[in-house]
This record gives sequence, C-alpha cells and structure tokens, in this order.
Amino acid sequence: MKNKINNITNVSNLILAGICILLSAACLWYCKYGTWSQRTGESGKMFPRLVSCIWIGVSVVIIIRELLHMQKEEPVALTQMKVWHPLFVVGSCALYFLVELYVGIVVGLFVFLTAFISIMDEDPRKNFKKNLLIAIIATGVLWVVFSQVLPIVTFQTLLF
Amino acid sequence: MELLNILGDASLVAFMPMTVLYAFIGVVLGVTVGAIPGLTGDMAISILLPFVYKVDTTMALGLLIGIYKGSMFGGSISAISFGVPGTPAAAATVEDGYPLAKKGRPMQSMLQALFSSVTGDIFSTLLLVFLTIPMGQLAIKFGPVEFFALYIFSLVVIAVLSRDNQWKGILATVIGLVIAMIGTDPATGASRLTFGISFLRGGFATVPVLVGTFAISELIIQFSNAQEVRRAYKSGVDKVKNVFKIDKNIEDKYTLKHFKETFKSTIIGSAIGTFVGILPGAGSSIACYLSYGIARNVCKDGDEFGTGVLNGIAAPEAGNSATCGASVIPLLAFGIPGSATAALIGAALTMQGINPGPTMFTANQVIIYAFFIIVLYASILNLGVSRLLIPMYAKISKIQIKYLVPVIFALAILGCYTTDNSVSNIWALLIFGVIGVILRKFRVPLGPFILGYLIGPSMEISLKQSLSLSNNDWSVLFSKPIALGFYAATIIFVLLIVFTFNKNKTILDKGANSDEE
Repeated sequence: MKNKINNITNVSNLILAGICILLSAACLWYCKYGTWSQRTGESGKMFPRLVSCIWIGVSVVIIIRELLHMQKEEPVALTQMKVWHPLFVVGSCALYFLVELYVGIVVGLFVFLTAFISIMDEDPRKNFKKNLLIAIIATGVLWVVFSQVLPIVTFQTLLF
Repeated sequence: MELLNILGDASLVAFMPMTVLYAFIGVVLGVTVGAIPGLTGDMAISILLPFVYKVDTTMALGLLIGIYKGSMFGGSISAISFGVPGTPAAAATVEDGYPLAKKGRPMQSMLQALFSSVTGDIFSTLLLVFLTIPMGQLAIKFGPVEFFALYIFSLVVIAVLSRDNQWKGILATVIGLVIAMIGTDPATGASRLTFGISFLRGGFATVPVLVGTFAISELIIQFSNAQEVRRAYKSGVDKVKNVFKIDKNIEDKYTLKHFKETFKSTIIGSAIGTFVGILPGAGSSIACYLSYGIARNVCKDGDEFGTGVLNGIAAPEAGNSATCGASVIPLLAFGIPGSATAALIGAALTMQGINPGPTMFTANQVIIYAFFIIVLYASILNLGVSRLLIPMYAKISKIQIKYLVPVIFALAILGCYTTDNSVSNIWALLIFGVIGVILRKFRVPLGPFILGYLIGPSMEISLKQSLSLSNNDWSVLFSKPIALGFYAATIIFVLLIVFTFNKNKTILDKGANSDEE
C-alpha cells in the first residue's frame, strides 16, 4: 500500500516537473522568437531568460530526485477530488456571475446560493426548507450590504 | 519634537472611533473564521481585499490586522474543542489542547491558548515597533544592487524553509515570478509572454490572483470534501464525531498561577515565533511546531507533552501568534512580506496608494506610526473580545461549511468584480482558483508562489537598474559590501538550516505539511 502511495507521489511529481519543463521551454522560445523580443533590448530579456532557465533547472532536479528516489517528501495519497469538482465550481461561478451581470444581483445570488447549498448538502430533500430559508436570508443580507449600505455593485440589469 | 507631533497625529487617526470599530470587527471576524475548520485568516483577508480600498487607510488596516490576530487564536478553539485545528497554525495545539479538554478542562485549555497567544503577539509587536524604523532607515541607503541581493536572500530563505519540499519551494517561487512577468514589459511597455492572447495583455491584477489562489482554491477543496461526505452519507457511513462528555466535578479554572507556570514555554514560543516570522515565507505552522518541539525538550514536564499539559498549549500558541507582528517587519522595512498574510496586508496598502517599504518612512510617517498603534491595541482588543466570547466561539466552530462556502464564493466574485468593474478580473479569479487547486494537489506551497509573484516586478526592476548602471556587467551584483553581506547571509542560513535543524526535521516537516493542507 505504501509503495502504491509512493508511486502516486512519484508520478505526480514527475508530471508536475514535466509540465513545468514544457512551460519554461515555451517561455524561453517566446523570449527568443516572440513579437515582444523583437522590440526589447538584451537587458529586457535577461530577467525572463534567467527565470525560465532556473525553472527548467529546478524541474530537471525534481525529475532526477524522483528517478533516483532522493525525494524525502512524505508520501501522500492524492485525495478523492474528481476532475468534475473544480470544473463544476468554476462553471457555476461563471454562470452565477453572468446571471448577476445581465439579470440581476438578487436573482443571481438567490439561484446560486439555493443551488450550491443543495449540492453541498448531505440530504438536500430532507433539509430543503432550511436551506431555502438560509439562501433567502443570505441573499437579503448580501443585497442590503452591497447594493444599499455600500452601493458598490453597479450592474445595469434586466431585473433586480 | 517632530516625532512627538507625528505620534500625536498617528494617535488621532489610530484612535478614530471608526478605526477602533473596524479593528473590533476584524478581531471578531478573525476569531470566528479561525474557529471554523477549513476557513483561515488568509482567506478572510483575501476576500475582504477588494472592499478595503473603499475605506480609509487606517480603518482598512484596523480590519485586516484584527482579522490576522483574531484568526491566530481562533484556530485553537476548534483544535481544543473538537481536536480539529481551525487553521494550519493551530495544528500543534491539538496535541495537548484536545487531551486536556477531554480531561474536563476545555476552558482552562482555551484560556491558556488565549493568554499565551496574546503574550506572543505583544512580544513580537514590540519588536516590530522598535526594529522596523532602524531597519527601514538602513533600507533607505540601499541601491538596486543591494535590493537585488536582498530579494535573492528572501527567495532562497523561502525555498529552504519548505524543508523536504525545498525544490518545490523554489519551483513555486519561480512560477510566481513567471506569472508576475506576464503582461506589460516595464522597460518598453510592450506586451510580454502573452502568446498573442489579448486577455493577458494587461497582466493579472493582484486581487484576483490573491483571492483566487488562497480563497477560491480552498473553497473548491471544501466543495470536493463536501461531495465526499455526501457520498459517504448516501452509502450509510456515519461521520466520526469528536464529541466527549465533560465531567462536571473537575475544576476548570485558569489562574495567574497557571500563567506563571507556563510563562517559560510562552516566552520560548514567543522568541521562536518572532524569529520565524521575520524570515520571508516561513509561516506560522512552522513556528508552532518548532516552538512545541523545543518547549518539549526544555520544559520539566516535557515527557508528558501530548497527554494534555498546559506547557504544550502555551508554546505553540505563543509561537504562531508571535509571527503576526514579526512577519510585518520585513514588509514595512524592505517591502518584502514575511508571510502570505503579510503579503496580503502589503497588497491592501498598495491598493490604498501606499508602497510598503523604506519609502513609507518619509512619505507616510503618520500611517506607519498609526499602524504600530493599531497593531498594539488590536492585541488588547483580541484579549478582551476573545475572553468574553470564548463560550460562544466553541459553538460558532460548529457552523456547517455547506452554508459558508456558497456565501464566500458569492462574496469573492462580487468583491473581485467591484475592484475595477472588470469582467476579466472574474476570469482571472477563476483561473487562479484552479491554479491554486493544482498547486495544492501537487503539494507545491502557496506562500512562496505568492511571494514570488509579489516580489517579481521589484526584483526585475532592481536587476535591470543594476545592469544598466554597469553596461550589462553582471559583476556589479557583487560590488557592494551590503549585497555581499546578503549573499553571505544566504549561504550561512542555508548551511544553518541544513545542518542544525536536521535533528528537528520531523517538527519542520509537520509544519511544512500542515501549511499545504
């Protein structure tokens, strides 16, 4: 079991270092051939080049340490986060923002809070009324604070 | 005489009723947030960043400092009550706080945590007051060569203190530096590292980067954990509840005698926390574990540590709180934050039009002294408010995360949009939320990443200025005695950490790991 966890840690570190090498190589390529590099002098390119080279160097060291099993990192199992979790959260936040921007802050907040609390609830059917009440109260408080007390939210929206 | 005038003006602004009120709100908010497992002071400060520039500078400082101090103690409440640290900085407090609470003395544990926490905090705050100005005056004499050496020192220290993750610490710093380079070239004004994407032309604003990395990523992880709980609930697995019955016959009091008995470990924690706090990127988790480990070796009841002794609560609590004042010293003196929270306070100052660093001592003298006064009275406010509300806070820490996460998401998005009414801020916020999750999952520390991002532009400018002065001769970087001193200090520090602290490896590892959790 421990070996399995060690392997997961090793593989994740190798993936991380591999991605970093690709990105740093892209940065170096951009410093050499990008449109910006044509406009700037040698002194302007020094810092980005230096940082990119260190980036590559550190990534290579991580790979070598992993391959030689020199990494003393405490092995941990990657937690159960599914790929859809961050995608879902980011997507729903973007949707919430667009609703707020074009439909209205109260509508956006209420829909977002109701849906999100239900999704996070262990038993949304059982706690439906309680969750709804909390969503209404939270919407009211946020609306009063951001639209009335501190009038800093100035969306031009269809509804309210 | 001039100093007295400045102090008078500073007192006037620091003691404005609204400033005191904001500091009070900050302390209450900080303890509350700290008491709730999963929420941290960093997250609360980053969420409030977009709003603070709309209020007066001292009010903003009062609020943020209050949160910083309050959250340090707040983390111990759930650590003692339920064995679950409210913040990573309170992880070591669980070792003795929870067993002592189980023995029937939860109030004694919490009061020990509070008094040690405030003592450690005041200790480092006094150092902040007396050390910052001389250090700042020294920094005024620095040129670009000295500053570049100082940045190198800071970044190496950040990386080395990531312990078994040193290479990931360096990696995080470098990624932060690269993120800071995206956008406009400070020399030519041309777009740099944008790869033709127009969205990247202006670079990433500070607020979405900070809020996304700290808050949104944490919220995504909380969401994921909630899904796991939901799945377990559906499959009929009961949650483990750390609830214990308290024997009401046991005397649960905290007296002056207890404070005196634990004073030695409190001072040990305060000294270690202050030292660790000054080092860039070291963090309060390392301070609390290091304090706990050293107090265990020094105290008479060291063998009983872990069974529920007051010294085992005093040392880590004093240690983590002592980082508060100390981590602000390099921020004010050199413009280099000592911790992620100090970096957030630095960002708030920048948003208020104040550049943290040596120029503050000439351009914003009243603000800097007002800052000292607020930091001092916020400690006293923390003591008073927390002493009164301790019984209530234990209940607050039971607030369910399912209600808090959506509300905090909504706040973060509203706040980021309102900083400059820019839709691109929201996209940047979400992108950095995902980047934060990826970094956490790969166990790349966030502190060095943020410090790299914040230090990057100044570091680039100082390198460019140094090279311009010497016609691109790199040897100029080693031409000044102060710069050489910093390079020597860097080498000595690395050797000191590698050889001296090898014996305490476990302690540092625990601190580094809990930072990432």
